[in-house]
Amino acid sequence: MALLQITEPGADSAPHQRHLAAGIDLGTTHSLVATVRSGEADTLPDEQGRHILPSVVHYAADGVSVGHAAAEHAADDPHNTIASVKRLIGRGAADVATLSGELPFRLKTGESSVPRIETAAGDKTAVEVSAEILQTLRARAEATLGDELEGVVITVPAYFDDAQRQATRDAAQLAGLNVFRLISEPTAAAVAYGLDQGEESIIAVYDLGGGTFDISILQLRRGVFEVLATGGDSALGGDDIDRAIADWLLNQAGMAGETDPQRLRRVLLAARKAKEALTDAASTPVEVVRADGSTWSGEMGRDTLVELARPLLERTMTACRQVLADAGLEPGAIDEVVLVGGSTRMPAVREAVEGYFGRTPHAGIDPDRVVAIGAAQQADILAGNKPDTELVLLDVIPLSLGLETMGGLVEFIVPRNTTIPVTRAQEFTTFKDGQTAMSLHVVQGERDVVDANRSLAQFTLSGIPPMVAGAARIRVTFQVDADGLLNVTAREQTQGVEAHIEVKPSYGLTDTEIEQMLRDSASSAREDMEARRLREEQVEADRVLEALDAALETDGDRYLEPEERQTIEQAREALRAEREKGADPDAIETARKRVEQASEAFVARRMNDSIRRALAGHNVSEYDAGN
Amino acid sequence: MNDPFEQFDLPVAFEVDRHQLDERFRRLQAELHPDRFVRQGDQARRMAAAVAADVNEAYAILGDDYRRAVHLLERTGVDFDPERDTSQDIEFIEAQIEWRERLEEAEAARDSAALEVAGEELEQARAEARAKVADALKDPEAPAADAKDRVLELRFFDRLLDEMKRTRRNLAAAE
Repeated sequence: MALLQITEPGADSAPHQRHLAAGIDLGTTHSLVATVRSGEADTLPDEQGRHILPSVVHYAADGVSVGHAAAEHAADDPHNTIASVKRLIGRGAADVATLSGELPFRLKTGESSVPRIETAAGDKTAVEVSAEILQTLRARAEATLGDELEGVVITVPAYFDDAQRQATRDAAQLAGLNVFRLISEPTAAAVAYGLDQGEESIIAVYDLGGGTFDISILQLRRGVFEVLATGGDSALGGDDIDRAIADWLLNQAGMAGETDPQRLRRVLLAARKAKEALTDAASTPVEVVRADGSTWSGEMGRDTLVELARPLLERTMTACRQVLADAGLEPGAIDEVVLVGGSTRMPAVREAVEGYFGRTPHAGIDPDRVVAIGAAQQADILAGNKPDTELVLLDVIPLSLGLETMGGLVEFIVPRNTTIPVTRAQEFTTFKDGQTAMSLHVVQGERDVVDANRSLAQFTLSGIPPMVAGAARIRVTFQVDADGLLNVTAREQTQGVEAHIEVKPSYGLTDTEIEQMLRDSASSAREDMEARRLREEQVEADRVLEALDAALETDGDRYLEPEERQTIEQAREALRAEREKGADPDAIETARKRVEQASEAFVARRMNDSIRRALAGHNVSEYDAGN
Repeated sequence: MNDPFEQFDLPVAFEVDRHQLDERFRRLQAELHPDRFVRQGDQARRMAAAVAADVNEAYAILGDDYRRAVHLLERTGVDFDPERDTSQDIEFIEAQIEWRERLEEAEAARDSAALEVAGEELEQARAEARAKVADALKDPEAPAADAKDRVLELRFFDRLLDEMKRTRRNLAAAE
């Protein structure tokens, strides 16, 4: 029987139609993509059934390979094989200089603020390398789902600053992805376990990956995830355990001091296999081939593994103690513990974590996939596939934002852990008579001294009318969006002189550079630039049209005078016509902007009504509850 | 920006019902967070971000004793300048100095026990300062003449408590 459907404003006009969305865990050593299908979130495998994509890109003169294929070149072509690029993303030349000793590839930090990696296929930025990884995951998701993704949620470490988040977003843009939202990795893991449904709790997320260790303490309160403290060790992970086992094997086989890289690699492989076998078995046979071709074989017990892993686990525990002290908490204050990262499969790790926090950790979901799964669940909600859910994931800004003031000190404008989005303004004044310009230095970090923080951007507000010192009133506004990205505006109040920046310059790529990369990138060589722009404009036009149709149907009569409605509908038809013609991206964009302009008041009225409804709805339920 | 009390449809008063405030915040964010508009085009998303930022700010003001008190006073035309304003009350200035000395001594001696005792007393003193603010703002349309001084005193205790928490954390981390 056909029932008349009454849709809520903002809800889907066609509820049966699923919107394709994915969650992406863009990791240091490996990356994954997950989606929700038939109500279940899971990661997607490649054609060979492998879920994990090594975060490795190989650039050859004749083409680019990503993942397993790229990783095979690590030994024979190290300069052109880019791994762990996440360590570079959003970083400036100076930060990277401290890392370059550990990196096998060649970095150029000369002419630009953004370091570039020299490869056989030309100089590449970390953004471009990350875009290749994202592009591969996007292709995998679209091949599996059979259509284009409407949007994705990408995870970033909780401690990522503005420049690193912006660079991640830029990489997504290069890969042709529409980013619904960036969320922090520990938050995604907590979401995967449904911990966001709770009222109030303190959650420890212990993330031991291949090459990095992160420990994050989150506080969930009134639906907001706050990051109380993060810590860890960027050079500690499961790979270190593999090396410790390999050393033990070499000693057992009487091969200490072995230098042949190929034999060492085989021993390392044997070490990893033994480690994995010992997750389930109490003991496992091991075998190593010596230089003279003879074979040493023996037995390795779990107790040996525990012994070998102990120093590394002890280091993670030290980081846990430090981070709890930073948060001002005792181990007993932790309500939930979540395990992330393949290395947490080791029973020894679980026992150590359980022993320290005194709670059984959540470990039911594959620890390699849990972050991507949480991101996929959030993407599914944002795509509008769960119109009934009221849940909104509220994030906070991880590091304070401020401006340099006299004497190299920082004036904090937005303190860390402020719920975002947020807009804060502060007034400054001139300190010299007749001063006509003011230079503003935006920094991020917790220290009172500018140099100890991260420099995000510098810009100048000029054209201030000459006045006596202290008379000018310069209002600086910081706007942080839901992804934690910052915009800064400065305005002289008495004369209205204005300067505006999107905070990118210090370590980020400019819009022009990104546009250039889009032109140059391998992905757009395959896919014509213009065609891509057209497609993007069509998608955006569809979004606007669909939303407007739904809004007009439910609220058009309520909020619009007949002439207003007519103006909007005319603009809408013009846009629809351009979109159907599908020839000129500029014309579609112009028509879309006209629609947006015509419907601005309508959107605002609906939003105000949402506020009223939200409050009124509550009054009713309060009454029901007998308050 | 709209008046925070109006935005949350709450009575203009120093005391707010925390439960009601939290519940309304959650409802407002559920309706207005830009995440709800990701599929409706950039314009809707931008507008939602602006409104959500307003709601977050209003919530921050209503949820914080000091900021709420400042807002109530500003509504009645009292000017605040966080850089220059200090309490004019000589007795209170002396009390401030004593508190600071006490905490500095305990910190210098790395004496966590003394810090803990001081912390408890400081909480107590803060609660008293808060009660005085509540009293001075009993009629939010006509605050007491010394209301601003009381609010500045509350700010002193809030800041000192923050500093002390930091100190205790640093001591704990160093142990």
